[in-house]
Amino acid sequence: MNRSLSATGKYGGYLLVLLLLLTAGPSLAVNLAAVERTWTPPDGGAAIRMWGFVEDPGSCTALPNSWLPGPIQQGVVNGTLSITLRNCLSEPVSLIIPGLETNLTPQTFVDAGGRTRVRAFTHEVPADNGTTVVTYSWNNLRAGTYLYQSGSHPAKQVPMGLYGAVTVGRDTAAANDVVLLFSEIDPALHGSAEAVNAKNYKPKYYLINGQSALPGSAPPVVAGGRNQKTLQLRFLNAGLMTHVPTIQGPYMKIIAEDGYLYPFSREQYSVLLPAGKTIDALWSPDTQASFALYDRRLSMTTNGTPGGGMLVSLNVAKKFPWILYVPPIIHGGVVVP
Amino acid sequence: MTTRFNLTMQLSMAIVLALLFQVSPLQARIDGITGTNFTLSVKTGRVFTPDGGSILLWGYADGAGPAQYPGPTLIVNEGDTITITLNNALTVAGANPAPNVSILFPGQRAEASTTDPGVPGILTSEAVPGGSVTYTFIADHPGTYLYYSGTDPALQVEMGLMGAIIVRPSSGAGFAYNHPDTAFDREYLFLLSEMDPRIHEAIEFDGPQSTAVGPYLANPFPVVWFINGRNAPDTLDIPNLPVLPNQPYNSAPMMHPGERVLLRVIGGGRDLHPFHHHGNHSRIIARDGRLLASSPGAGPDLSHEVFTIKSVPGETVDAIFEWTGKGLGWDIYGTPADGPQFVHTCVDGNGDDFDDTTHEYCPDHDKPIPVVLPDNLDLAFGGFYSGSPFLGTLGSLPPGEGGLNPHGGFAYMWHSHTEKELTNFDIFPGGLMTMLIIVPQGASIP
Repeated sequence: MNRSLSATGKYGGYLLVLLLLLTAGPSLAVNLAAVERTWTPPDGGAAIRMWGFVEDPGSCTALPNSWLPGPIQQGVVNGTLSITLRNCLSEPVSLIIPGLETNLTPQTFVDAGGRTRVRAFTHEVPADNGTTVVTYSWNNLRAGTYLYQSGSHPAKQVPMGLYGAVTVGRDTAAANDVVLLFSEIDPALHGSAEAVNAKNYKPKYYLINGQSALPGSAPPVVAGGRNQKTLQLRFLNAGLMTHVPTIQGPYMKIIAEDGYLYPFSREQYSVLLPAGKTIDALWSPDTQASFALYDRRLSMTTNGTPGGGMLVSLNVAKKFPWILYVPPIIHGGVVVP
Repeated sequence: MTTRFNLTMQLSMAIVLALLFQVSPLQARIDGITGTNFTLSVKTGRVFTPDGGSILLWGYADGAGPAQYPGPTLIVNEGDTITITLNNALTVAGANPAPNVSILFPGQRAEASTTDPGVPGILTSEAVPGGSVTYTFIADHPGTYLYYSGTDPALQVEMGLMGAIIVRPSSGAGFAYNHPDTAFDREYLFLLSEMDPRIHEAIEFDGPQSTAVGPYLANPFPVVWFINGRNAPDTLDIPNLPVLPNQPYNSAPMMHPGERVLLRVIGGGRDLHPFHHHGNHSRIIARDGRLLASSPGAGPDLSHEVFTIKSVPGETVDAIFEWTGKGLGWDIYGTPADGPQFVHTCVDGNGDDFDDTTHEYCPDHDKPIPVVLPDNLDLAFGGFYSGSPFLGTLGSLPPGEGGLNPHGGFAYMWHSHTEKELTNFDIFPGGLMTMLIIVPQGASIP
């Protein structure tokens, strides 16, 4: 996708191209499993039952216990992504990636009224304690940032935690990239699968990359590339609510939405990120420091306590990694003496 | 329902409508404080809502002045080094001490001074109770910005700690940015916000130790909505009204046909507010204080028209609004058939289709209004009806009617398109709403 050839393209630097790795071919084949795990809130609250995608351990025994969003899948432009999924859950699951084309085979069931109704967007892995594995494939991958998530009963299975990020390629202007995946947890929906009912959704925990900041403590640290090196920020919203990621101090150039490039970048310090949306932005840090990144919709609470929630510290490393240097601590662009 | 109750309801509605259309002295420039050195203090105050509500406020005050909702609008010039000293004079109920307070300046590279550094916080340096912190930044880009608390923002922004910043460009006060296409004749601020009074009540009763406040903070449910810290119809009243001591700013836009009006729209709260401006489209020229430009110096060549400005929390929008009556298909100044007093010319010397003085749209000149005007006996009146559908004309009205529209202006409602936000605690009309008044050339706009 060469923007310098487009009629409106003046920013040749935003060309998204295949990131050529000598050791990697154009195909990415991974094995995942859908499993039940728990997420322990930072405030000492009771562990919350979650469903998540993990690297497939080969069976449904001896699973890791702690939930995080599914592992990041790094596809290559024009390449193929195939994910083979094992199902360790109590109901069928499936995989979809909104924005990437593939053939979908919707699954239906007949309800008590005799009506044929859709249950899943595509073919499923049956709930047979991991006996069956099913493969999902996407060809001719388009550069961008995407969510992968369950395509079965998504109003329930996605809030339960069945989501992760897919990255395809990287902007040519960027030296590094970082995934910032926003989501929420309403513990009331996680007690038992049968009790899940999204109509009363009122999240109590607000997460970036599966972590919620603890009020009064230093926020979780996210590696934010290097000083003087352009960083591609990949914002994704796997939750059900709108968030407004805001970087305190500097500006970003917003370059793409839903994996589609804008004809021109937009210079902002914040990003409107509704549910299901992905946004790509470029940022060239001009100092080695930590920058606060938070949700300006003020989902900055942890079970109601203000000061936590969707807040991370984006740490910009030194420009040249081989020079030993201790950086000053900077909070939100304000140098703390 | 008794007759007496009906009468009460009618009286209430009459009072609401009278307030709604009360025209007071208005202002064409944005109220605020200017300079390069500011002293703000965090204090408590009260936000009064038109439904009779009185809500505890934590507000930024201009020095020794009262707490304000929103905080003082800081109007500065491009290139200036801005110094802001924040004093923490907050007092709270309960056994726990008052919290630290602070200011974040999104889009600015603010630093705490070495001589008054405050104490380190999670997001920025903070002022302890009774203490202070001084921030500096260089206002190196013109535009519309905001500031708000960086200490427990989910609570402190809700409590009222936010305000606007305007950086005037080196091109001069008649420009939004350094480009001719950003010139304007008038400008108005629309700082949009909301409150969930349950949070304020819990803090008022128990202070920061309140345990009741948590569920409200996790899932707020606002019931009052504001422009520049006031709910309709108070938005239309004069600024610095003694009965609203902590809400000094109003929102009462006025214009003449053909003028370019700059709307500075800021999302000060935590919710999105679709700001719908009746009358015409506007052209969005900037967001977050940056021109929508394809390249530096190109001007707002990526600007685009909307009729509802998508106001995002923490973001700012600059938009140019114009109105001439073009496209109505009838002569807004009346035709000779309406009476001899309506005889007028439309002189288009420069060929732009508009009268060179009044900005009347000449292709519609002398086209009749396409309705049969009703008799006064068939009309119900609001205080703002001039008695005539024609701009700048006062018609005959029954005794006691009208009187609030001395220039015979046109009124357009500007409001949140989330229509539930047009209420004050479930009472309509109110909330995030005001009226644009278009008055004919020659009518004074304060």
